[in-house]
Amino acid sequence: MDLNEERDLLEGAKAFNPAALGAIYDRYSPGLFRYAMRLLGDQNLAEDCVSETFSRFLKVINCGQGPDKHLQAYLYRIAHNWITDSYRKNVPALIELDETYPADDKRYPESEMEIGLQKQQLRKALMLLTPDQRQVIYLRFIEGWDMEQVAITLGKPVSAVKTLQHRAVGSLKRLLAKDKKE
Amino acid sequence: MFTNKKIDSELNKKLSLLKEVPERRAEDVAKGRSAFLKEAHHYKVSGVIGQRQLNQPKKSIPVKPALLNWRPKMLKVAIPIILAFVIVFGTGWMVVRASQGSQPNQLLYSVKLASEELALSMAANPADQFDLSSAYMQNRATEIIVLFNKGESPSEEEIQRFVAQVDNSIAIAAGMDDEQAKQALGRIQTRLETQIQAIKLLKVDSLSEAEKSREKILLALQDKLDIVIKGKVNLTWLREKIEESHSKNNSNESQSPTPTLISSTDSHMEPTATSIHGNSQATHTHTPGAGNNQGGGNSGNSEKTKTPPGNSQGGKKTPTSIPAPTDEDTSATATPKKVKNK
Repeated sequence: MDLNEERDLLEGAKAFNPAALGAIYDRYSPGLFRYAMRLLGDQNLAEDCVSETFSRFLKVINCGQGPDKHLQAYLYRIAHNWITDSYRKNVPALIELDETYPADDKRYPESEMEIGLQKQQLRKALMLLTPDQRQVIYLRFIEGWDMEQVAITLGKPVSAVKTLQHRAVGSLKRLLAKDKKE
Repeated sequence: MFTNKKIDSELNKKLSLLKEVPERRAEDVAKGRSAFLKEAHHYKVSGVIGQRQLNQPKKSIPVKPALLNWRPKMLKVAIPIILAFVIVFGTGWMVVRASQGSQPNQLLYSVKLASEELALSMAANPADQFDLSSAYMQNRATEIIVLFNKGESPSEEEIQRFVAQVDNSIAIAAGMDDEQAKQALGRIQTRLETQIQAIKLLKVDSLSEAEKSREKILLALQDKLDIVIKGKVNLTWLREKIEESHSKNNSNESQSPTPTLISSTDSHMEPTATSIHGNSQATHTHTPGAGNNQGGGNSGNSEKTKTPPGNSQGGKKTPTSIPAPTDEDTSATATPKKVKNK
């Protein structure tokens, strides 16, 4: 989406134009859902995150504030903050896969169970990172954003994001290695 | 766009696991979109606040009341002004207050006189003016009595100031309406009688300069008392005398800068005194111990002695009697008939 299109959408949103708002929702809610889903691992929580993200966006523009550009980064920042707050308020009960886990060949084939276990371990490790480190990992290596977009989302300079990414990768490796040993 | 060159393949592989997310349920999408647009509609409908806020600056700035913003600056200017007022007027007020107990020849006495003059000029009506003038008349009397008690003799200037204050009170009283004027003159009469009595009772060496001053003051006060008594009976006469006196004063202003005095005769005061009596020919002299006078304080009538004006200007010569104005005094050539011995 080019800058002019984004600017038009933002202007429409600030005037509470339903068409512009609908377009924004259609454009950004799928990505936000995936982002929340990957971080939270729960579809309902991810939907809550999306809903709350757009609700906060409306409140902000109703107060005459909000972004003039970089709408995507702005929405991801809201979502990220919501997820971070959600972690602080209610640490998600990560489901440990053990022997008692129901063996359903259709839903949980062995390979899928293995993948599920790896996902849980990965999420657990990611949860131990700082919020900014976690966001850099997600946005850079899962969502596939470039450095500038991440920098805008985090509200930090690109150089700081590079440093942050370096530390995040190192920490995640150590956590995964430690988890593997255990 | 997805750059994973900086991370190793194992980590990249693990992270790729998270890329896979279940498909978002269509009903959740529709529900979420509907809720979002509904909320947006709510803001738009009830969006007076929202619209207004759209026009506000992007960042809300806490707005201080204007007064709070410029108060420090205002105070920077106001405090020195207030202090200057306090110092100037406060100090001035203290000086004026301190001067009220001062005596002639003291440093603050001129301040006392100036403050009295100012108060008189600022009096709202003749009644207030008279009250003040009457009080100042008493002040002058007290000052003179204090001087006598100290064994000092009041100067000619102090005597004239006293008599001028009496004149002023009489003039103010005469300026009121008839009823008020009579009451005011009555008050002056009472006050003069008391003052005369008080001065008579002073113990002064009979051969001293103070005694001469006392005689002079008593004669002047008696003269004023006669005018007041006569004026009470005939206000028209009093007013004419005052008017006549003013006319004379105006014509003599360039010649004599000294205060003008209302007098029943010209001879009772030093040459600066101007009579409203108009009888410049009538001068009554009194030589203490000359026989006619049966001693100071005797109230018997003595024979009236008329002398030419020049006779009364002797340094030691003092009037033997104070002529009281009569009905004929309304004429410029009237001669006092009532004679009183001191």
